[in-house]
Amino acid sequence: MLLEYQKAIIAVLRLDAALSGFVHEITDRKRPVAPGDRGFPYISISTEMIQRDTDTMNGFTAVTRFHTWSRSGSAKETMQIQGRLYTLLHNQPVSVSGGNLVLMKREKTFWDNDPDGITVHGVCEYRALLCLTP
Amino acid sequence: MAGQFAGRNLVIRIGATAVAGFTTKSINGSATPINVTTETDSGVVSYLASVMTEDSLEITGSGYTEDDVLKDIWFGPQSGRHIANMSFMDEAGNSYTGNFIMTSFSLTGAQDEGEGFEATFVRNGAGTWTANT
Repeated sequence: MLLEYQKAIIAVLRLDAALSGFVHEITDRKRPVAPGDRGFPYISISTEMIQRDTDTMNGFTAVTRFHTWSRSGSAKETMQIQGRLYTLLHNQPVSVSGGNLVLMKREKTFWDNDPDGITVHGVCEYRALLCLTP
Repeated sequence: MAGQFAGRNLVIRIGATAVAGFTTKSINGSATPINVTTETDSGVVSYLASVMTEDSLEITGSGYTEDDVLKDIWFGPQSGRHIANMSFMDEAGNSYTGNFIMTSFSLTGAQDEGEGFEATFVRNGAGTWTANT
């Protein structure tokens, strides 16, 4: 289920022309940065799944963190990306193979300066409730 | 079998179908002995042997709504709240079956949660306990 959920989320982001035309990459791991790396901004995703069963159905709470990595020189680019993520995901239906997405909502969002002194690191945290299709 | 039983394997059924969505269930029994204390009992309470009165059994539970079964029962005709052949079975295979009446029902709709429900059923008349042998 974690794989299918993550595939569905990434597909939503990659199919959005406004977002995919703006970010260099949408991936599931933080990329090691080489000198002269021009692959910014990009989004990396991590997800934690917590079991949430009933007697008759297996379900999950999925907490997904969307990390935005920007080197535009200010937080504006980060906040623009976070705003687009909100439009695409908050209280939106997402089709997940093998399951039913009950709800998806943004829990919190923030940004800060990365320790490298160059990168602005934004984090959006979304919580989704999922049920496996019987 | 030895050891504890898993709570999720305490299953509530209407007929042959498990009631969907429970995350917690409670089976509560109570009964009252008959006080037959007299002045010759030296102030110590005594009860009628082998007899209990007001013997009741109640099933309560809550969970996430997965279908409309309980809603249809509650919001349908009152007669529908009298449920024949309701049962619970534990992990060991012991079961209890009887007629029950749905006496309370609530729906919850928290902003950041799935739709939830709470329901209470009280036994109507005697039931049957079948121990797994």
